[in-house]
Amino acid sequence: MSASANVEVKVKDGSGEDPEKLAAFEAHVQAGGLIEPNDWMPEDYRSLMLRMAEHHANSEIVGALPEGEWITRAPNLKRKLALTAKVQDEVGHGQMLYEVAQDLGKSRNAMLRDLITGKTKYHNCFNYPCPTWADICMIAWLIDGAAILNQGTLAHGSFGPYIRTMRRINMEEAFHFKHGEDMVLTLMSGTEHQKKMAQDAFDRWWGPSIAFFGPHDRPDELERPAMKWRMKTATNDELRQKFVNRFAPAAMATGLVINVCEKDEHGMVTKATPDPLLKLDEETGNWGFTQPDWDEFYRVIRGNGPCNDERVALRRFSYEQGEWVRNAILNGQTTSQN
Amino acid sequence: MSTIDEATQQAVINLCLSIADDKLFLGHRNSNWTGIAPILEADIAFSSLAQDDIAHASALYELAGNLMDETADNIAFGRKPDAYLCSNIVTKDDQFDWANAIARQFYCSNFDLLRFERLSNSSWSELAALCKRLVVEQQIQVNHINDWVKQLATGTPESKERITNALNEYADAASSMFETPYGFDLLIEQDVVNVTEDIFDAWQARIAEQLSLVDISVDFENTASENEGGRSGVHSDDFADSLTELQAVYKEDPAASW
Repeated sequence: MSASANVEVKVKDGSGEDPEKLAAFEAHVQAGGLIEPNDWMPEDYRSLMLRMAEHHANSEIVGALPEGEWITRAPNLKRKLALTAKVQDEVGHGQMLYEVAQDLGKSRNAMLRDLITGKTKYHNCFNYPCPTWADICMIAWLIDGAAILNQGTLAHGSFGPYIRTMRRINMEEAFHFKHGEDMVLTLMSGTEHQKKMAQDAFDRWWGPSIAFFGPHDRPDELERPAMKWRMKTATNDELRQKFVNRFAPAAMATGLVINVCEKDEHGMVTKATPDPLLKLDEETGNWGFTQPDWDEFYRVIRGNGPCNDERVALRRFSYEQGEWVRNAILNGQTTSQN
Repeated sequence: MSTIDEATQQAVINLCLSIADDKLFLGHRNSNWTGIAPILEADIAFSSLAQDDIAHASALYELAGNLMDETADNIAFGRKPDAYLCSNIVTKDDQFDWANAIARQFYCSNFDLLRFERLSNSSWSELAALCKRLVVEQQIQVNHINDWVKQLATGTPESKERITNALNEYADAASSMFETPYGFDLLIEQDVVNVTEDIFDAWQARIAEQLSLVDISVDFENTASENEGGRSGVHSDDFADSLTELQAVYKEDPAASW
């Protein structure tokens, strides 16, 4: 569901490496070449790639939590099966991405431990509340839709195991998106109660969806290691604009109104007014839009969002209650294999 | 079963619902583990078991729905509590203890396999055809869950103790599976249910065979015929909690399409 576009890590740019090897490496990746785990790579590349894959894996398994909580309340047999399968997919994505990170030198157990102690992060968007069934519909439509755009570009990156995993994940995400789109359309062609549920949930999720791609690009964005080494192939602002161009007209076509919202500390909307900047620029083909609330974004990233504590606590519960099982199944080899 | 009278029809419906309700609530309970199971690979596998169980329930609701002139969804989500015919074991709270979840699934999966094997010979051809298909998937479930019991019983002293305790903890509740739904005798008379052996004895033998491989012994007592339980619509508080959750969104507007 999620992606690592907005992973904020401080990395060096390979200085200190053998200049000839570094130059050959950069020429190789810039020409579209792939890097495999046993190839030579700058230590900073390994470190950044590991953190990207780990952050992405963490996001998948934390992303499973808000949706997982609604499986038991899904309103019919088809939705119940589909939602279970979707959340199962997200856990599967986590499993695949942890494997990618493991190959770069960190054990799964160490990654799961760092996640529950707060040493590592997961995607910001999972720190928002899901108070109704319609929130589940919006996550599958908007957040999975955002993830597809982002991961579509990550699938053209430079690290072989990561991009092969991205391609496989993206095929499954396409199903998730269709599942989300179908649920949103069902609500918006339903009763007044359902339409209101959908609008309220859309108001909660539009902001986190456009913030999904991460903070504004920096002036030197293209020179930063993630872009220079082709781990990312599109900038945050490019992806955000692409997302709005696709989803603003799609949302309006269903009857949803795109609002600028104020929220309380629980992430619930206290005031919603139609976005005054929402307009198609005929020349560029771009839709104008009000930027997400960046103060809120940074507050949530720093751990002070509406659901940060709840999500980490549930992961910790899962880790701790399962420790005896891992010890039994892996015969005490949890440190190296799990 | 070429012709069907009203009493037999109701008995057939009760039979389908009793199996489907077991499967629905078992899948419902197990889907709670999706996203938080102890190992990612186990999470994915357990989620598949939950999906199998809910899909089996759907197929049986469809079959019953044809006789009831009702949709599978309305049958699954829209009945009053005492119209559900699941056994008490499927809704018993597992307290998010993996040993409890495994013990419950071990008992239920083995029982369901026996039921499907038996109903594959039913004189009701539609039920027989469905059960022949479900037997194949159910056997995979049984292989998987039998293996889990073995793994936990041979893992560490702690895991052996935990799974042994859980198997004992769920032994009484397992008896609830053997209560028969109203009209069951009529189905035996008409070969809708083809009884060649006592299902409790057959189940107990299969369970004992698996447990003997890992030196675990559990005593079972079939008290189902002495008490009115889930198959008669008499349910526990744990069932009520599960049903409230199951119906939470559906009840917001039962006429709406979701």
